[in-house]
Amino acid sequence: MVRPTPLHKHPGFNVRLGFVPLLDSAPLIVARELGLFDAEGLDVELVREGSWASLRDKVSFGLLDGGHMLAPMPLSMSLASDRPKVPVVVGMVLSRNGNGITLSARLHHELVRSDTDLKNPIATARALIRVAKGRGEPIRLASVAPWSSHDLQLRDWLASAGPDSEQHVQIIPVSPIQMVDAFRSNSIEGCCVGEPWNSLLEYEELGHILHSGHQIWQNAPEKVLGMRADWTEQHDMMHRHLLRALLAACQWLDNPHNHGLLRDVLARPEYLGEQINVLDNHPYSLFHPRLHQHFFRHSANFPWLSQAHWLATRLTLRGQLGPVDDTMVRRVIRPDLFRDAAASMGIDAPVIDSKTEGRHQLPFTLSGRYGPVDVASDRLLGEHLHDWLADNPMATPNKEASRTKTATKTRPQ
Amino acid sequence: MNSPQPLRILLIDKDPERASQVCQALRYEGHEVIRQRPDATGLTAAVARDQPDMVIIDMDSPDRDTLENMSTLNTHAPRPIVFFADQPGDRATIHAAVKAGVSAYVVDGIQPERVRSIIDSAVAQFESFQALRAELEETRSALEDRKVIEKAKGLIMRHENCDEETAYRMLRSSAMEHSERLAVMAGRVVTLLERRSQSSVGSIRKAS
Repeated sequence: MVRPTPLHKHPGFNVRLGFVPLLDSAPLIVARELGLFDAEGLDVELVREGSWASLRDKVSFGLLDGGHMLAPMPLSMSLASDRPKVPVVVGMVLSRNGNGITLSARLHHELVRSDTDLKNPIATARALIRVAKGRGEPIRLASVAPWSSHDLQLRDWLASAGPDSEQHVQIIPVSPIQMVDAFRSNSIEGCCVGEPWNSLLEYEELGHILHSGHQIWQNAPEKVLGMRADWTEQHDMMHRHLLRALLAACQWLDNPHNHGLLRDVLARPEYLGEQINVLDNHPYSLFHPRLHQHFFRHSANFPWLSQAHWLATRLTLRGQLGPVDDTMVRRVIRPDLFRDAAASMGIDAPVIDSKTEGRHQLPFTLSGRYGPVDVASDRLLGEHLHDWLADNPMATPNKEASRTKTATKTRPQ
Repeated sequence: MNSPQPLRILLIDKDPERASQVCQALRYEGHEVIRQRPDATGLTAAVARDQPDMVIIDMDSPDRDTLENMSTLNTHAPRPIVFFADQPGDRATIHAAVKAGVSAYVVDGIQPERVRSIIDSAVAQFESFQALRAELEETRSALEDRKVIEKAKGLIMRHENCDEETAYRMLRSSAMEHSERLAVMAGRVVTLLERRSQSSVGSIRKAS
């Protein structure tokens, strides 16, 4: 285990962070358990929340300073027009990927029998709609919180089958904790949910993972660190230390040698508890290989303005937000804060704030401040291109092409 | 309180005792309260079937995200009360609710004052329950404290060969010296003396 250098806590460096007990809350838990918060002089209180709504409310009313959030959540909190806005600032991404679209064993079997190419999400979405039409009854799928990448990915996947696909599918809200029961009682036939729930459904032989969220939006930001904007204004130093501690935790998490220890830590009752223990006999240990969940590699923590804008357009499309422009995204997503904290640890970051999302099929390199940096691929379902570039006062617009060394080399990672 | 028409309230709380208190208080105010324990998709079904004007649910319940999702899917579904926090009066009410662990969802068109009064009484019940629980905890720990103090006194009496009052005075003065609570100091004395008596009783006797 990493031993931090002995430290002195800065007076008044207390932060209250909320988390929802999911596999991707690991950066916060690890930062505390390895003493990484201590090493930054931070006194962090982690508060476990039963729902995203509860975390949102506590952040809104100052009972928490911030926490582990679904990537679209800070946008929805900061930019909402139908309710009081709660400005939130995102200085880093905590994890990428990790969602799965899981179908009940029966429905999955039906797709297998129909001779559909199960690797192609558009083909499976069409096949699913055919099943619904064939039996004259909509497919019942479950979605979790509305401002989640799960919900948005599920809807993008279904929409890829054609404009009328929503008519043949009924989407029911179910909380992740009740997903296994809902499958067992046959009240739903599929869902899009985060880990460990997909693995659990497979382990219980109730369902099969049909697609990973990675196949819908490659390497999309899944969870971020969202802090209340007024807090970050008053505590810019503390925020920087917080980013440093979590960045160190994310780096630690990407090393598979640490996963044995991680599992023991997460299994403690104050964190994930029993739900992890069930996976003890699971062949894949903690991280399902199909879901490509990761925390650090390929500049995973860099908060891209263009990815945030892409998420915002999905929220707008589903009627959860009005139109969103450059200034709005820039207020919430702060690559500048990330660059500064990362550079202080010798971690380089891209010099540009936005890129054409959907254009990169393979990991590629971009210029960092000190040299080339690796960036993950970013394909979007249906070869969609999200060609939106923030006007960056530091760089002339649309410079990505000249800065990109077009990636053809794949690195084994 | 005679409101023109009673509101229909769906109450979801995993703590049955607290739920009965809240239920009683709201019924006393003339509202119709439906209590239920949701299962797999029971909540969505229950909201659709019972069409409550308001849902009161404890903050820790994972069902909250389900309700949030319903409110985006269906325009008639109850919306989270925090979305109405734009007026100063409401803000205070909602702040108190979040703090007490009460969350609520309301359908459109219900008078704000009525909503406020319902939330206030739910918050009052949650808080009094919290206070009761804290009091129980305090009583329990006071009992524990007394037990450990008695034990430490006994050990000191045997060890120092003194009477009870002297033993107590010694314990109290060393607690004051170390600026510790009496019970904490007593705990230390117990650990120390018990360990010593296990290892080498004779030598300590001589040394003192």
